[in-house]
Amino acid sequence: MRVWAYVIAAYGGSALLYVAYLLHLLKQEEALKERLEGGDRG
Amino acid sequence: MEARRQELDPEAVARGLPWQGLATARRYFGAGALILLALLLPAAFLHAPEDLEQGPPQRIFYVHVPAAWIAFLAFFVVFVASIALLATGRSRYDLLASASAEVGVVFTTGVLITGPLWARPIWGVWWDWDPRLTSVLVLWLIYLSYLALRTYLPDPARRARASAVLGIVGFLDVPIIYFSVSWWRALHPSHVIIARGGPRMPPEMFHALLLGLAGFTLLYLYLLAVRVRVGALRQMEEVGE
Repeated sequence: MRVWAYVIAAYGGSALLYVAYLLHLLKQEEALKERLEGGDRG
Repeated sequence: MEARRQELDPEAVARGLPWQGLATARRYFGAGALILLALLLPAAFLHAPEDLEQGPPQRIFYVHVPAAWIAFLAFFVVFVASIALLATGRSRYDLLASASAEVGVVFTTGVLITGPLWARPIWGVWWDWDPRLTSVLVLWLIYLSYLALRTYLPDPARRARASAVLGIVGFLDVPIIYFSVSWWRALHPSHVIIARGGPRMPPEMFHALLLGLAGFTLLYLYLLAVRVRVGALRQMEEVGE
């Protein structure tokens, strides 16, 4: 049973890593777009 | 200044890249990656048989190996884009190289997370200074240095040239990683996929691996497209400052 913990950690850890990175990129994209639009208006 | 701003418009940058359509294909890459990676779970846990020697931990193979291959692909893109940057001086190649380097570091991190989780139940240790493991760690450190170097150089032209040199030299570690299991006797298994006489595994395991490779490739292209867009917006902001 304990060996399954390593498998779950590997799959769960991978999913967390890629999703966290994607969310980080999307957040940055949104913030940059807002700043550039704000700059254009200013 | 207006001309430079137009040149750096994210859509214009994406249109002008050698891989036209990547920006518009972004949503298809994302949806495709989601579908294939969801299918990978039943393929890896139900379709593929359990390994007789290793038992359940062998199933880590289906996320560990695709992450490693995609990391190599990402750094190959850095290598080619860096050569193109030095040859032409066009900023779009710097945009592509820096985006691919960052995504490659994320996939290498995935390799360094799943590797020890596979090693612990099979080898009895989380880590060993085996040539394959050490050279992968060196690769991760090289491209972390690449990203760090970019944050320390404020001049865009100097930053692009310096990081291109590191991007080219750093790639030399990839063939060392690939051949390390043939050159030195080590703990890490030797080539099981590209082997004489075909893959050394049952077809069901190979199917799951191919599904993982396809899913990770689409995930790489999706993350690359998003990261290129972020890079283009950053360049626009730099020009506007």
